[in-house]
Amino acid sequence: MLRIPCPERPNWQALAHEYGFQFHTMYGEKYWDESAYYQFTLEQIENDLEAPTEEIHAMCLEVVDKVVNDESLLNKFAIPRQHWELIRDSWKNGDPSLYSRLDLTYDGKGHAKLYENNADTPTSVYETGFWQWLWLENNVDNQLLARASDQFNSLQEKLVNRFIELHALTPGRILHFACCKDTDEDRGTVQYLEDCAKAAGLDTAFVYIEDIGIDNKNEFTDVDDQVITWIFKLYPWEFMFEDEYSAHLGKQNMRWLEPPWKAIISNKALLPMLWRMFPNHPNLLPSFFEDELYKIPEHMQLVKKPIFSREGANIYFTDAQGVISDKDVHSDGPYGVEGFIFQERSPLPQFSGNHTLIGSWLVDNQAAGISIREDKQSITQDLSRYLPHIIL
Amino acid sequence: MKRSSILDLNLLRKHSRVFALAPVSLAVLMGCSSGSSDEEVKFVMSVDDCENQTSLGREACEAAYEQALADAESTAPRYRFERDCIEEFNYCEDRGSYFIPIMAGYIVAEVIDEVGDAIERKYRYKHSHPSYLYTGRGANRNKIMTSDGFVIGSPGKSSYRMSREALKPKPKVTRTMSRGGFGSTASAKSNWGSSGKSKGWGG
Repeated sequence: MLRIPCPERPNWQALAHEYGFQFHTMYGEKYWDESAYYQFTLEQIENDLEAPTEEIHAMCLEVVDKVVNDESLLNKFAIPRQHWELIRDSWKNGDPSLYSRLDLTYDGKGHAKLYENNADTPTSVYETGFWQWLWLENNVDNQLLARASDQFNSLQEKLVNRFIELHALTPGRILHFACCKDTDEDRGTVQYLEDCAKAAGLDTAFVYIEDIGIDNKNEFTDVDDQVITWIFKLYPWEFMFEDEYSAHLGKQNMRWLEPPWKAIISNKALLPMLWRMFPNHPNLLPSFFEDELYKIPEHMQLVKKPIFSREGANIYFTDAQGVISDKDVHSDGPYGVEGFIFQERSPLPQFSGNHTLIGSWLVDNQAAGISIREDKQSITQDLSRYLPHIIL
Repeated sequence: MKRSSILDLNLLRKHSRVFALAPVSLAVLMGCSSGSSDEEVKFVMSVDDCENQTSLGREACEAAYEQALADAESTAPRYRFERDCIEEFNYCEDRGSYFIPIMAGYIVAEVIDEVGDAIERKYRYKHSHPSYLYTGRGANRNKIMTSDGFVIGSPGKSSYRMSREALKPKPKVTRTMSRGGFGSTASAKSNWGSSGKSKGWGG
């Protein structure tokens, strides 16, 4: 695993315009960064990332199966009681999923370790499935990269194929796509997934989360008063559970992407649960619930994460007693009232002074590629830069 | 190869291109690009009829029937008075505040799933729509018709051609009582601190 500086394509911003990639620069700072790329060997990809990704996902599904049937665990996962049935039913019915992204720390040697699982609303799917793919094609054509260069990235192909399967499982329904207003990134992400669904032959529509309505039969509606019967929502389940319309959930014949059971594994309580069920697994970091601090070895340094944290918000470093060790190094945010978990501190590897995080994608249960984020800070947040990668 | 072999650049292009760079060789359409805008469908009057007339198995025929029956509830033409319904479709059902024609049968479009080799050919239905026999006056008398009035043809043929457009799922329309019940948790979270530098709610 190497970080290799390289010249940018002179026309990449015009290309980004052509393909509707609006959020490559945000708040005046680079988000898409092609001034360097990461290079992996095929062995690193296949043995250290691809295979463990599928294995971790399979373990996560075992956690779901255990948690949905255990009230005390559902409480530990901070899931409101009135939605237990929705989650349990979606799991027992086998409601299909679309995709996930595991965040891993990996430096090219040894075992990749799971930081967390973005199983409900993963973003950077466009940058990964399409944009970095185009970067590779262009730079091979420009002879900047060796013709043998490859990339671990079958994401778009797998997404389209998955939509074909989902269509067969859900015939005769229009698939609505939804995200919140005022965010170019989420709108772009949802547009990309809608494009993939259209390529798979699905009939689609779009609605903003805030514009969703309800009729007198508990059917959710879009702005044209069309009943929503199947929806992809880039909006977390734990937010939906808090919103006013949560009282109507589960009272209509509706299919969700991601399905409600994803609320179990997009939740940070997944981490101590995995450690409990699969102790000392090489791809897991020791993790503990708040009432398990007594189990923690004396000198272990920890990271304290809120159960519902998103994009690296409200993360603290602590000692083995849970006491915040460095008040200056933490990230702000609006999370934490729901409780915290502790995970062994395992700093991200550094390449040329950058902290590097690997996102490993799954479509349903198949590993489908990786994305790389870099940050000057030790906690990568939502404005970390995105860099492409190759296999050579 | 560990990456997508070919991607449809046209599918994702949002603006006409302003210059010419290499990827012309990649511009190959994938997915449903068979050119023709028509599809072959069959009109069947029962699950048994479906089994006889199509390559679908019992289970698929039953599923297609259930689908058509469920769709009929929300998409069938609605009449305020029974006599108006009878005048056009002869057999009608009372739904409390309105009347709908009784389904004469359903139309199915079938497709073969490509699961590797030819031995494992699996048929499934791609579309299933409720259909009615129109008995009103005029040129469409005794023709098969879909919920939205699309005329398929006279009964008795082994198959019919229908445009893709007419085969699309029919949107179910209702009256919205309120809006805005989702999204408040996100907007509450976005108000913390002063940076405002959050890109979205994905992660």
